[in-house]
Amino acid sequence: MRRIPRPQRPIENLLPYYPSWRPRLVCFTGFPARYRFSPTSATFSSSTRYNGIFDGKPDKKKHQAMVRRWQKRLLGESEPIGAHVDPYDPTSPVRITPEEQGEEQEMLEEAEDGEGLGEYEEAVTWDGLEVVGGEKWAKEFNEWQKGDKLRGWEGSAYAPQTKVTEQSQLNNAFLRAVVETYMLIQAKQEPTLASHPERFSSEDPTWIYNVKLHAAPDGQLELNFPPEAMKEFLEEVNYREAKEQAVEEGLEEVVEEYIAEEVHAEAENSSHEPGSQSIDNAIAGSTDAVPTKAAALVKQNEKKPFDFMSNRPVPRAKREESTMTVDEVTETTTVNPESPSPTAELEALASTSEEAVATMRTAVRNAIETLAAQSISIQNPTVSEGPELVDYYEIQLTDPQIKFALSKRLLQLTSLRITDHLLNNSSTLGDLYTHLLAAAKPKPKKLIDQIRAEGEIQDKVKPGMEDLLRLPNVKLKDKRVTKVDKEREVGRWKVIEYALRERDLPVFTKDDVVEDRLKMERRKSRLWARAV
Amino acid sequence: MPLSAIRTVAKPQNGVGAFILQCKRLDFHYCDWAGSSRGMKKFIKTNLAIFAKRNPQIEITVSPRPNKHPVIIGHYINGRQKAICVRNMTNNEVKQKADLLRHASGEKLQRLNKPVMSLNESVRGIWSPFHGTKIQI
Repeated sequence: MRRIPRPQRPIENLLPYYPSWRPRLVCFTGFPARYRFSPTSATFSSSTRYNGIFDGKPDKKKHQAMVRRWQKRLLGESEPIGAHVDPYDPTSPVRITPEEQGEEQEMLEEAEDGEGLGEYEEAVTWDGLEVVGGEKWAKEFNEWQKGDKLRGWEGSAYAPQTKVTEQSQLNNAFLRAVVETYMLIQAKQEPTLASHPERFSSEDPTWIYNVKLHAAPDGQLELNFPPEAMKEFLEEVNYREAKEQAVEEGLEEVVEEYIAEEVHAEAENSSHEPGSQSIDNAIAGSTDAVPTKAAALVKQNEKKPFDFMSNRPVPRAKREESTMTVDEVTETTTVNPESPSPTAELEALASTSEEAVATMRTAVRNAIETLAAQSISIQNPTVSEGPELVDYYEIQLTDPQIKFALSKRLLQLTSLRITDHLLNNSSTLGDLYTHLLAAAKPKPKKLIDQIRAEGEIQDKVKPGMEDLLRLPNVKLKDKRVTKVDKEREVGRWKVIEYALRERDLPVFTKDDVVEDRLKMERRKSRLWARAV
Repeated sequence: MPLSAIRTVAKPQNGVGAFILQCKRLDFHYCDWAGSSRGMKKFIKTNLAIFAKRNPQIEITVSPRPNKHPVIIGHYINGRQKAICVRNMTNNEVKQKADLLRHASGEKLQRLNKPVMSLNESVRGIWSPFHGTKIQI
């Protein structure tokens, strides 16, 4: 391109203003050369159409009027702040720094000199100084960056760091998960409460072994446990969770609700006999009492309406028929005929005021304790022998909530995952148990190992790749097939080897190569040793 | 003089009497790590057993070939080999290639220009200008 000399001053100001002559900056970027107008001066001056207009006074006023009109349209009647402020005027408020104006400024905390340092001497040698660098250090550094896995403190981890593979540990974990989940179901709580993150404990609680499992004829699991086990468990699970939520939302009533529920559940479990109907009626038996009581519990705080978006669980209405049946009652009670009146009174109180709930709770608790103390026949809790007592395959698993709760708890206890596909297809506890054991076994990575593993499985209905092991015309090889292998197959290798050795030529097979290399390396090292 | 009967000899053509499959061996190579071997591995796990059962006359070898694309090599009776790289193919596509190799003979692939290839001589004879319709001017 021909170089066009640039004038020192912009020429457009000297020229008269004709719009047709003036190329607009924005439009001409894509136009071909023949449509371009005569070259103008450099656009460094940010020349606009209105350049040269401010010479005359009336034009300036007109321009300002236009600007003001648009400001009014866009921003409203009020003038923007700093509209008439000249930033170049030394007295303008724009020039005053925020510090002088009195605004708060964020300042760095100045380090106090001499604290903890003592007398500082620059080191001359590296004795005693921290060494940074090297493979080992790099590895540790990367691990540190990933996050402190808190190796010593298993409690804070969600799941164990290493997958559990031992059979006995898996058995225990499975039993624990089953017991916890079904106990929660029996207590009419959310089954996933068992796997609340706060509930860590590396050791199995002892009461789990006191729970006896039975398979009901309809395919459901029945548990027999002492009531203190349930109480302990519910406290651990509910109270902590409820308390956390209460703390979060500042609703203390939630805690009380749960405790009342828990006591309720306890009462139901303990007073199963028809003789103790009075307590049932007083507390939970009559259907009328239930909704009012539930309503009373919910309506405790009328200032705060019920928040549908919060996570606070709503206490469920008591179902008369329960799918879980407690087979053998571990506690029988005799009814004190004088008991109905105080409980009825208390019940009346509960529906009126908030404080009455607390008093009712304590009163009911006391009542139960006194009643329990009167005549108790507790069966000796038998130590369950584990899966041998109940055949897991007999117990049906249809509810996806239970499946999910079990798999979640198992993940927490063993860090083994049961895939969704397997979960979906498992219909009994036994299936779940099998999947857990399968997950514990490491899957073979190589195809040949997978084929061999398939071959070991017995009672396979559908034939698959294990046939490859048995077919007479199929050969499976572990390693890469080389020329030497091909010659060996045919029988030529012996001849080749003999011929090579006869001529003192190197004979290399897959295995020999390594040996020869090592020999060479040893020879070299010997040479070096001599040289030094 | 009594006429002697025409001595008939068995026609030496594969398929007239017995049929011998030309493919005598198939080598299936795969890689445990590479992704291009996924279809091949799936084929080995699912369809190969059925294929091998149906073709007891073919010797089948399955061996890993690390860091290479999967390949099927067919060995034929005429001593030649044919290799097909089955990289990034699905299970069914690999099966198709295996069938292709099984059906092939070891001959080189040739373009067929003529519509009919036959060992029989022509029925009506080869044309000559002397025997045919006479052109009269």
